[in-house]
Amino acid sequence: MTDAAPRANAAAVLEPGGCRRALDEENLVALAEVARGRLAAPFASERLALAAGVSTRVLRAPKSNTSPAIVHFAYFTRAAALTRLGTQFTERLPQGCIARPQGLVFHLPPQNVETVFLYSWLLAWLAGNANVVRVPATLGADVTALLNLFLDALAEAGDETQLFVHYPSVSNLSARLSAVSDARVVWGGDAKVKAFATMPLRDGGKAVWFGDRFSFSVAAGDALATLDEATWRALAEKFFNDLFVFEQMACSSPHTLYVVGDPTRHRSVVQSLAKALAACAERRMVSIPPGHAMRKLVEAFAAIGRGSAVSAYWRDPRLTLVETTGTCRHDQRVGGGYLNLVFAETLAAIGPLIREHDQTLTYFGFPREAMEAFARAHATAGLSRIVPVGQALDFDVVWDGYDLLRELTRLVRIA
Amino acid sequence: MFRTLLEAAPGSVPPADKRQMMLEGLNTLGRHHYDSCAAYARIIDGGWGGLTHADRLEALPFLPVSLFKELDLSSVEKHALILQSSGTTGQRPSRIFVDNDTAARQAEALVATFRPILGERRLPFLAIDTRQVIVGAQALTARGAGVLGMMKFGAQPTFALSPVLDVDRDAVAAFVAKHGGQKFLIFGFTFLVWSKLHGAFADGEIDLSNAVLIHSGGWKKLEAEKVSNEVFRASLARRFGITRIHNFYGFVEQIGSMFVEGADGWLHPPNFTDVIIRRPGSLEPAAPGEEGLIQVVSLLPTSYPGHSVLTEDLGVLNPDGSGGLRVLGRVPKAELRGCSDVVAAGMAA
Repeated sequence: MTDAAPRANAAAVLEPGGCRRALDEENLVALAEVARGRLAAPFASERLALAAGVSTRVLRAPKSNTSPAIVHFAYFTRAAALTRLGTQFTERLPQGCIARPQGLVFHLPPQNVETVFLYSWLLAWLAGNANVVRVPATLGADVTALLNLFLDALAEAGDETQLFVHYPSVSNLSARLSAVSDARVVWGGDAKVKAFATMPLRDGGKAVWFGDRFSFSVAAGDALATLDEATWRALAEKFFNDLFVFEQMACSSPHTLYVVGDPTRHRSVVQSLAKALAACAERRMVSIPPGHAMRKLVEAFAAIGRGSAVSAYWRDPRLTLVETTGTCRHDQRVGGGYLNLVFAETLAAIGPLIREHDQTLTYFGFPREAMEAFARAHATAGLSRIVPVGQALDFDVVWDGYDLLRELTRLVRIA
Repeated sequence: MFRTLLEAAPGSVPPADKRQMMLEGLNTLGRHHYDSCAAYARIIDGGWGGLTHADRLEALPFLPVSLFKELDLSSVEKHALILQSSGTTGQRPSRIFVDNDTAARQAEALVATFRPILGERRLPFLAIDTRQVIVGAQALTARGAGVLGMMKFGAQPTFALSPVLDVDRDAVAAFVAKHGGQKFLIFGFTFLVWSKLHGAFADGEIDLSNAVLIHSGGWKKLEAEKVSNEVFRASLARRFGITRIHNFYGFVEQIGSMFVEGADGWLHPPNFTDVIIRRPGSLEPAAPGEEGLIQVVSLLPTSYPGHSVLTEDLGVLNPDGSGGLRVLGRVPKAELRGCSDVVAAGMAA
């Protein structure tokens, strides 16, 4: 934070041109109340046009300057994609119902996985809501640039109902803003969710929670073994994206790779995949901090020493692959290029290992139908996303078990 | 092999001979731990592709030092004591299993290392620490083990600090009155020597010019105050007249293998210990003069597989090839970003 570092119980509102306006608690709450009185209809054409306009500007910029996460956001907000999002949303509504915004939505995105706040806000805004977003304290240059495009466009459109704010984490503002909000979206793990659970929303309100999650991946050993060169390279690239974006610490980043097959038949092909991934990481100039490389080595050797792993591929600092003993669950989230390899005889054998906090399962070498059957059989308390390898971090409107657009709107039934 | 190297005068074995003798001894030691420590054997098999005969020191398998925090690694059925690292808050300490044999070797090693500096006679001993640090010998901290180890070279120990680590000025004054006129030994951890002893007196207030000061424990806290080894030495000379000052480098996983500061200002390993610098990341051996992670190999430990340990300390070997080491600090701990936020203590209130 630079110029207007807010004092306790004070906030800074982000404004066009990278400016900040310091506000005290009362003024910010008052501003939020005013915003709440000016809602739009879901998928209002002005809002769609504004978002699509920003998307066009991002996609026209030289791609080399833009991170994959921002490019994905820009594709998510292209005019055609937004129109489809709106149509599908309307189709999902119960018969005889129209949707209206919830009102004022308060967003508490994670501090580190920066792009989350953009999606959280965007969907709430498209749904017609007024929003207060507590923006992460530090943002990368490309996320800042994208946010500034939106701030400029909103100002140009005369829309003053979207408040992007900074304020210290120890502050009355979380409670004050909650008290005037109709819905609150909390990202950032169990501890944060718990901290906010004590702060009531306006008239009960709608709470959307994103706690700590575990994600993993499954590949068919035979499918890996029969890949041609080009597909192999493409797979490594996709896997690389799942694994290395956000240092493998996003809630949907996989930490375990289940291989359906047999250690003796498939071990070598998995090791080749590990090498291809490490090579990919090298090409993309991934650098693992030495302290973390050491931690990965300790974790790998400790697992072998305890007997919970049989071997480790660890010589490349970018990727550590630890082959575990038996078909068991391993809940470590070491990150920074650390993958537990678990062999399973069948896809179904993984089913009993699923736990309540599991989120994303990425898959390779299985048809979608097989994964649907798997979900029907095994996704009870846990697992909320099953997507092909390469899409682990692709944000979607259905996330972590929520249809976010539905959560952030209310229904009006007309009989 | 260990005995031959132990009994030779420090620095008297030509480097090539030393490395050859160590290689042989370390291969034997590796086989011993492989046969005696099941967890070590699993790591050699699963992490190093099985036990092989190394043809050079750099090819020996190593364990990362923090592994001793994660696993109880012991190559003996019965241990005499467990050494513990002091460990930072919230972190598990290392647990080092020492039996009588290894303890005896460590003691002999210390004698071989420090006798050339301290002489044959036991010297009056002023510990810059509290007596409490050596109480509870079943699980000693690194500080306690250090004090206890050095006490073997001292007689009539005086502890300069109270249990809450305040300087006991009367005790120090009494010690100086009684022993200050002849050669005596001061031992303490570097930050305690600096913050307590140096901090408690004014320049020239007491005369410690007959002291040999041996200190260890790292420079992290002093670096934060911008106190370098040079400043440390000059300040102690000015305040107390101490000129015989030897820093040493050692860690609980390698007690007995002390690197002592020589006249050239570099830290020198004992005959039965050697150091390899590895590039962070690739862990490839680095050339002398190139900074990297410090790996220590030693013939000492038979009761636990600590004969080849990759530390988290950064260091550099003297480019002149003399084997002197300079310790440059610790590899920074990396906190990975993620979806989970650190929630401030006051936030839930």
